[in-house]
Amino acid sequence: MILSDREIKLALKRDHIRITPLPPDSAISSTSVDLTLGDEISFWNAAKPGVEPIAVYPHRAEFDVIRLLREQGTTLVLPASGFLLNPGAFVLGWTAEQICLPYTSRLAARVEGRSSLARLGVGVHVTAPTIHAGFGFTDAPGYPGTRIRLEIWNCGPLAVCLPQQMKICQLILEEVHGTPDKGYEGAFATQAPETPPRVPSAQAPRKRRRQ
Amino acid sequence: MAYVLCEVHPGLGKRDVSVAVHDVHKVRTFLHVDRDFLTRERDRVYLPVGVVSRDHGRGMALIELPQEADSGAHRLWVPLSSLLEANGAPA
Repeated sequence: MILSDREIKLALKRDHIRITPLPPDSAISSTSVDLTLGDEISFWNAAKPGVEPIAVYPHRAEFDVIRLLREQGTTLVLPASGFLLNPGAFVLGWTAEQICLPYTSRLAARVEGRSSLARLGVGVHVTAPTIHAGFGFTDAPGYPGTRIRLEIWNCGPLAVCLPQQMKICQLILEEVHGTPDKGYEGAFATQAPETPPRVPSAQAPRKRRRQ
Repeated sequence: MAYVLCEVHPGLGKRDVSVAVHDVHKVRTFLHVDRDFLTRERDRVYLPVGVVSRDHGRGMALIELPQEADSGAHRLWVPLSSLLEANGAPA
């Protein structure tokens, strides 16, 4: 079930969700909260003409996209005048706001685009809108949460200016039915929901420990 | 809530880092997180994670990462010895 503006404000007041800095009332609509664009942007460098594109293998366990971006991309602080997102461009950005969804709140979220940008052909994620319950949560009291990664693309014919702090996306909050396992170890912790992998005996502990 | 030992690698900007978590096979799984999301304890750096289950007999735990890893993984089996409880005690 999607939270209404009243429920969103109540959740913020009760610390069931943290958004830092706190969005103004004007950023909250009937069923969502507008988030703004942070100050850093990264993009993949264009392939040189006639050069074969680099093959990547994201299914492999040690795949490290950040190292690849450091080697094959550019990161910059958005200039005051904004970043011009050209037709066909794809960049990685962040929300300016930090988000925390404690497990116990039973809230998850979706980050979605804004129709004003969609009409220009600009999207803010690539089929990965889900913000899972527990996002940005630690035990540190008052920890504000973490920023949301945005995958911003332009499939329209115009170059679209993206300045810092522009309203870039909206967060839609949803109730989670039940409490995720990872939030509560209690009753189910010892039921081993998955068969553990086999490891070489040299790595296994020699003594059994009591639970 | 618990924390898992991780390696820290440079990120792309001022506030982010890439972290690697070793599973029970010593394979590293990379995630991109905000630097201040990590916790430092006795010169080691730990990533907040959820613990789904523990297998004390085999000395391992199934953890849920705070977000999808670069490899697409959400959950990993890690050695219990790499976990730290919220109160700072080893798992």
